[in-house]
Amino acid sequence: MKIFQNLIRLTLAAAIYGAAGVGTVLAQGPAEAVWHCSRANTALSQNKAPANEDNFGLASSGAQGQAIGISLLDLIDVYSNKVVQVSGRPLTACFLPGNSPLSLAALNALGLKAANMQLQARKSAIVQSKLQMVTDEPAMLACIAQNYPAVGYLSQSTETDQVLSCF
Amino acid sequence: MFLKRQLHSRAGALGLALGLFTLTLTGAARAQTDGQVKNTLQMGLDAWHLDYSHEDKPRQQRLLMADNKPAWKYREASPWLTLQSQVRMGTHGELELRARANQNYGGQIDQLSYAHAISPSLGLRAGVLDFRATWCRSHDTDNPWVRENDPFCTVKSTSDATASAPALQAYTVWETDAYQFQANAGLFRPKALGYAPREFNNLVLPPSAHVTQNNKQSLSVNALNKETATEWRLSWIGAHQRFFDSGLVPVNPGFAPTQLNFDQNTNAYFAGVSWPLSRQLSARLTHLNSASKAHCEQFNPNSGPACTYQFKKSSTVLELNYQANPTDVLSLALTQYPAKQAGTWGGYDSVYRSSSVSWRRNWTGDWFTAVQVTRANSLIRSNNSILSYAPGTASAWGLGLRLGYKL
Repeated sequence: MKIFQNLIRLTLAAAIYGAAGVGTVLAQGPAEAVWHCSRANTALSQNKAPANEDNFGLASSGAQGQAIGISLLDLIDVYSNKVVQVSGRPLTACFLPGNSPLSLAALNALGLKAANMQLQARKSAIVQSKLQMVTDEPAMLACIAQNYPAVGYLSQSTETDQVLSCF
Repeated sequence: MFLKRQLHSRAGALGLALGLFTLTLTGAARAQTDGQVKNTLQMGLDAWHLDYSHEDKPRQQRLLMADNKPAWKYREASPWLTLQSQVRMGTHGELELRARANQNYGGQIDQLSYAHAISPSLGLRAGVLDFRATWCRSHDTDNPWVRENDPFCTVKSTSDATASAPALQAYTVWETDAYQFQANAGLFRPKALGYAPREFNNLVLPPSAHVTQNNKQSLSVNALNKETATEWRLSWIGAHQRFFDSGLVPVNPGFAPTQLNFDQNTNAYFAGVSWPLSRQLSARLTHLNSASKAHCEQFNPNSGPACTYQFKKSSTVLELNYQANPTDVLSLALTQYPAKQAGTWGGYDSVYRSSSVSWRRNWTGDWFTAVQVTRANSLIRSNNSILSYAPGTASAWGLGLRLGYKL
């Protein structure tokens, strides 16, 4: 009888644990991604790109205090490992590994794959990319802040001295 | 007796490299003020507990564990660091430094070069360069291993021939609908700038010998399928090396010793494929084959037949990586590394196998840890060379811990 009671207790505990787990997953819900950019720096953007730069993708530097001016096409290009320049500087693209819900939300909508980026970001790549892998959102924020000009994605809109929403 | 397989020193090159390193850091500090420089510093402590089946050192050395021919005095717990600096030089140029220090390699400059992008699809590099022939992860910030498994990535005496050197390199990038391709071609001169004046593949030269020629060429092509995230790499490194030995070398028993020129050609081929098995699980298979052939030009006609020397080594590594979440990676690797020497000074035939598992975790605040367990086996099938490898088997266990910090 005692064994039976223990089994019931164990089953109940497992059910509660399982429900809590499902609840956690449901509470997380589908992740949403908010694109974030470096805040435009007029002093740096005065280093104009030479006129013959038309071979490189050129995003605009944006007005002082606002986000650097980039388009969805710029996002697709930079996360596809193409060179996009802002005021003559290569744009850095920060990303989370492929199985992160936030990565899926941000990149799938643009037809991009984080698995490709992980390969392209390797130091053994023949041509060094401007893709930078991070492991969590604080690191994503730091990546955008420390690599002017840079883009990345966060789960909610965040504004700092160096970073703010792109769009 | 001049053929002896062991580490060779790059002490002379290191002085020059450190000078260039200082210059670069000075330049980097200047550039930091206008946001043109990017530095990535990783450092930490590795600790290994090793358990061998045999007490004798030659057998243990064949197991290629963490204490294999260290550049510094071996310690179970030892510090390590890697540094990568990139300095923008206008809109087309970039200065790049990659350096590392650990007890297996000592201090080493892996890259100190200027890259000029002629266009987004074409560029040139000059300076101390990596062949970019392999998929070694010495400088990667997500390396799941305490110590990688491919001997061409972790054993200095094995990897020296495919290590960095002063070079000129051209690279190109192009795309089709399904693939992104990258390729490079380079001319390497390890003797230039005093970088590696005595590098001679796996041979360590006696004091009476000096390298008279060390020319290398390389080609690499990388293809990434953008739909499937499958990546392929094919590379070739060719080397023509010569040294002159002014000492009297007894090439053949019963014949007169002689001065000689030793002329060696080496071809190394790398093939790698990496593919995802699921969203979280990926696999990669790499193979590197290096084959050297050499002969002597003997100055004394009474020294007997011209010497010959052949050396083949290859590594095959199958690796699975399971990215459980953005912070945790579990890895499994199986490695096979046969090596065979033959020629005038005798030969040996050996095979090394290992299996490893690891768990890397990235903690908040840029700290990371890795735990690795490696089981290694070595079989010496035959040996009639001067090397003290007793035929038979040997095995070892290794438990490694890494504590790291990325800045």
